Amino acid sequence: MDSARLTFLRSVFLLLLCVLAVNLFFCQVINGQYYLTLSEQNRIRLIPLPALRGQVLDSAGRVLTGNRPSYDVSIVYQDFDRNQIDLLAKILNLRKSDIKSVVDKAKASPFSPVLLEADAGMEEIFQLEELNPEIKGVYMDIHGRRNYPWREAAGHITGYIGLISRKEYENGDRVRFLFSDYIGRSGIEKAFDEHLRGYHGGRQIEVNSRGQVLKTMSERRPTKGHDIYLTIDAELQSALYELIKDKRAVVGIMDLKKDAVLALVTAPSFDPNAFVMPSRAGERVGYLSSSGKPMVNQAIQGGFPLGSIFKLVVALGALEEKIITPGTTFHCDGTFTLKPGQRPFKCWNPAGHGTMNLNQAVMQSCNIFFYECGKRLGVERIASYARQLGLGSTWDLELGTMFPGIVPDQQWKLDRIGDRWYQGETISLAIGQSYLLVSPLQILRLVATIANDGRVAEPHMVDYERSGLHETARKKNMAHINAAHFRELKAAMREAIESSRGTGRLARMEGLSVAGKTSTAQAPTGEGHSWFAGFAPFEAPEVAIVAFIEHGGSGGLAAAPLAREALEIWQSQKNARVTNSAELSA
Amino acid sequence: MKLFKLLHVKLFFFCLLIGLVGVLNIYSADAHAGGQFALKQLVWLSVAVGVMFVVYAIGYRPFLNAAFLLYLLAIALLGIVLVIGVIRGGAQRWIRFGPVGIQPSEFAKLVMILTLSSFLGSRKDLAKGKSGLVAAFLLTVIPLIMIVKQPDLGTALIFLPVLFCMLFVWGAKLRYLIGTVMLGGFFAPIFWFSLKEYQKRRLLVFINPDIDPLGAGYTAVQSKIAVGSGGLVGKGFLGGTQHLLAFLPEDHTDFIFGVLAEEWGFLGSILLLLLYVMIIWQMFSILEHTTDIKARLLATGIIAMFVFHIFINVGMTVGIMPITGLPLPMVSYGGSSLVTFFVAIGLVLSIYKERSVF
Repeated sequence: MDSARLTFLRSVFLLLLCVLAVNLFFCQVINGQYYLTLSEQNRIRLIPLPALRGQVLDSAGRVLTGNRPSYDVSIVYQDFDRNQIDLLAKILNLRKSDIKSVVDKAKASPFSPVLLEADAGMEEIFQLEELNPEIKGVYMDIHGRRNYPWREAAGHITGYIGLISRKEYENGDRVRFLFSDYIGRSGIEKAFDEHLRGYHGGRQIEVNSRGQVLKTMSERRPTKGHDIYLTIDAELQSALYELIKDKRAVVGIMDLKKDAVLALVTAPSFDPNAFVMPSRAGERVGYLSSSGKPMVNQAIQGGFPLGSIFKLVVALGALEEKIITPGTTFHCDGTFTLKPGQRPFKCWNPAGHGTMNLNQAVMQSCNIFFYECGKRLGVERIASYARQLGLGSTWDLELGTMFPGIVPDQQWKLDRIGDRWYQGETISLAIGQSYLLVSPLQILRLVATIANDGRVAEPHMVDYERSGLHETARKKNMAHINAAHFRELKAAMREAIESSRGTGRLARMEGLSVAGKTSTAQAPTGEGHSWFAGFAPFEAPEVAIVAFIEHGGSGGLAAAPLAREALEIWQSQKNARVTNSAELSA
Repeated sequence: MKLFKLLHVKLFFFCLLIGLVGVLNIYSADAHAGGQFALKQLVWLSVAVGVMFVVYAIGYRPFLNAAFLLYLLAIALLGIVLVIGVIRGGAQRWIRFGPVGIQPSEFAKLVMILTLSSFLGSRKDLAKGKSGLVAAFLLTVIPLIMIVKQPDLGTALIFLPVLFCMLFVWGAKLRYLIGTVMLGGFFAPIFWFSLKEYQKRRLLVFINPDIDPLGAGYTAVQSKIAVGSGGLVGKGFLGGTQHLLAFLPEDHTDFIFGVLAEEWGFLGSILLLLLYVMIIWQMFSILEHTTDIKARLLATGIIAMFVFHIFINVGMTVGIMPITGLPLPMVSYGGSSLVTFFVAIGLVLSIYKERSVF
C-alpha cells in the first residue's frame, strides 16, 4: 500500500518533468527559428491604449467637461532615422536641438513610442501623413484631450487635471494610471477622479524590420470612464459669470426642492483648458502665482465677515427663546450702551430709527434692535443657533475642500486667542461682526434653510441618479426652531425688498416676488464686503440666491442689484424653456 | 571520519553541480553590470553548503522535535514581515537585518514540512479518519494566509501540493483527499465573489498574463522569446541577448532559467532537468530505505517542494504556468532560497546517514 503510493507519486513527478521537457522541445527546437528572429530584431512593440475620461454634463445634457480629438506625434528610437530631424523640425515647427534631445531620451526605451509633440496642429498632421511611407519611426496617434467648453465660467466647478507625479504613479494601479497620465487636481475632476477615470488597455504587436505591424500578439481594450451629470445649468452659469467677471465676486442660485445648485460662479476664475494644452504653460504659471488667487474657489474656500445677514440668525434665536415676540419693540435713537459711561455702539443710521418691532428692524436692518436681542441671548445661545442653521461647518458639496467658517463662542476664543469673551463682543456678534467668518455658499445654505422653514438645506451639484452613482442618504436635519418664527422672518425679508424704506429695494423686480436681506460687512481693510441673500418667489419659494462682492461696499447698492440681474436671467431662461416645451408639445 | 563515510556522495555532488550552474548563469545574466551578483551567489553557496553540513551532522531528529517551536517562530517572522517588511516590486516579503535582507516565506516552506512530518508522523493512527486531515490543513493554512497577504501567490501555490503529497504518503484515505479537492472547488466561487475588483484582476493576470499586455504579458512573451531563441544548442555562454537589453526582468532571480535556455539551448535545458531528476531519484531511494515514518514524510515533503518549484518556475518561462516569484531550486539568485534548499538536502542526507540505526 505504502510503496504503491510512493511509486505512484514518483510517476506523477516524472510526468511533470516530462511535460516541461516536451514544452521546451516545442519552444526551442520546433519554434526556435521563429523566436530567434523575434529576439534578433526585437520586434515586439508595446502600445498603450489610454482610456477616455468620462464626461461631465450639465442638467440639460450639455458638455461641461468633454474630450476633443487631439494628435500626438511620437518616435520609436529603434525605427527612427536621425537624418529626418531637419525635415521634422520644419514640419512641426520645432527647434532641431529639442528634437535631438527627445531622440536621445528615447534611446533609453528604444522599442516604445516617446512623445515628440503633444496636441499637434491639423496642418502638421496632414503634412506628416503625406510623407508617411518615407518617414520612419514617427508615429501619430489620435486620442482624447480634455476640453472645457465653458472655460472660466465653470472653471471652479469642473476643476482641472494635471500630470501625475512619480509617487502617484508608483502607488497607483497600473491599469488605472499610465506613466504620464493625468489626474484630477480640483473641482469635480478631483472629487470624482475615480469615477471619471477609465481602465487603460494596451496592445502587444509584432513588427517587421521596417516597423510595419505584422500582427497583434495580445490586446486589452480600454474602458471609458463613467460620465457625471451635474445639477448645474451651463447657460445660467455662463450668463452669471458675465455679470461678475471683472469683479471679485460670487453668485450662487439653488433649487430649493432638490437642494440642487443651479449655478455657482466665482470671479476671478481660470480656464482649465490651459492645464491640458502644452502651449499654454505661461498662462498656467500666471494662474498659480497671481496675487488675485484665481485658483481659489472663494465660494467655498473663502472666509469673510458677514454683517447684517446674521441678524436673521439672532432674530430666530430671540423668537425661539421667547426673548421677543413679533410685537416686542425696542427704541432706536442711533446709539446703544451696555453700561453707563462705556463707549456706545452705533446704529448705521445716526439719527435713529425710532421705535421698531421685528418686522421693521429686519426691513431697515436696525442695529439697536439686534444689540438688545443679542445682549439678552448671550454668545453661547447665538453660537448654538448659528451652528444649527449650518454655519461653522462643512457638508458634502462634491467640490472638495471647503472652509468651515468660524462661529465664535467663549471656548473658541479661549482656545484660539487665549482670552476670555467680553460682553461687547456679543454685541458686535449680534450684527454679524466680531470673529464670525463665513463662505458665500454657507450663506446660500442659510437663506435656503430659512426659505425651507427650518429644514437645513444641503446644497449639492451632482445628479446622482442620472450619473449612476450611489448617493449616501442625505439626512433631513430640522433646526429646533418653530416654523412660525421662520414665516415671521420671511415676511420681514419680503418687506425689505418691497418697502420703499427696505434696505434691499434695489433687488425688486418685475414678475417675481423676491424676499431677502442685505449686508455691508466691515472688512479689516478697505471697503466693506457687499452681501445679498434671498429667495423667490415669496409665496412658494423655488430658488435661493446669494450674491457677494468682495469690498463691494453697500450691500443694498451693490449686491442687491447684482442679485436682481441674476434672478432676471434665471427667470427669463426659465420662461424661454417653458415656451419652448409648450411649442414642442403643441 | 564516520560522518564522511556515511555521506551520500552522489546526491551531494549533484546538488553542488546545480549550485555552480546557478553561479555560472547568474554571472552571464549580470556580466554587463559587473558580475557582483555572481560573486555574492558564490559566497552564499559556500554558506549554504556549510549550513547543510551542520544540519547533516546534527541529524534530522532534533529538527523534528523542535518543529513546533520553529513553526511558531516562522509565524512570528511572517507577522513581522506584514508589519514592517521591506517592499520590493510591490510585495512585502523581506525583513532587513543590517546589510542582509531575509525572506521568511522561503524558510517557512521547510518549517511547514518539518511541522507536518512531526505531527502526521506521531499520529499515524489518525490516517484512517478525518480529524488528522483537518488538523494538518489548519496548520498549513495559517502561514499560507500570511504569505498570500504579502502578496506572494507563488509561494502559497507550493504549500497545498506539498501538503497533499505528504498526506498521500502518510496514508490518508483517498476519498477524503479527493473530497477535500472537491470541497475546495465548491468554495472557490464563493471566495471569488468576495474579492474586490482589483484583487480579481490581479488573480486573472496571474492566471493569464495576456490580459495585461504591458505588464506580466510582456514578461511572459519576452521570456518565451529568450527560451525559444536558444534553439537546439543555444547562443553560447555570455551570448544571450534578451537579458542584455533588459527585456527579461528579474533575469538573475526568477527568470534565471531563461538565461540558461537562451545560452545553452534545448540541450542545456534538458541537462539541467536531468540533474534535477538525478537528485530527485536519489532522494526517493533514500526515502525507501528508511523505516522511520517521520523521516519518510520529511523526505516526501522535500522532494515535492523541489518538484513543484522546478515545475512552476520552468513552466513559467515557457508560458504554461503563471508568472510568480518562485525561485528555481539552487540556481536562482538569493541567499534565503539557496540556504533553504541546501538545508533541505542536509536533512535528506542525514536520513541516509541514520538509515541503518534500527
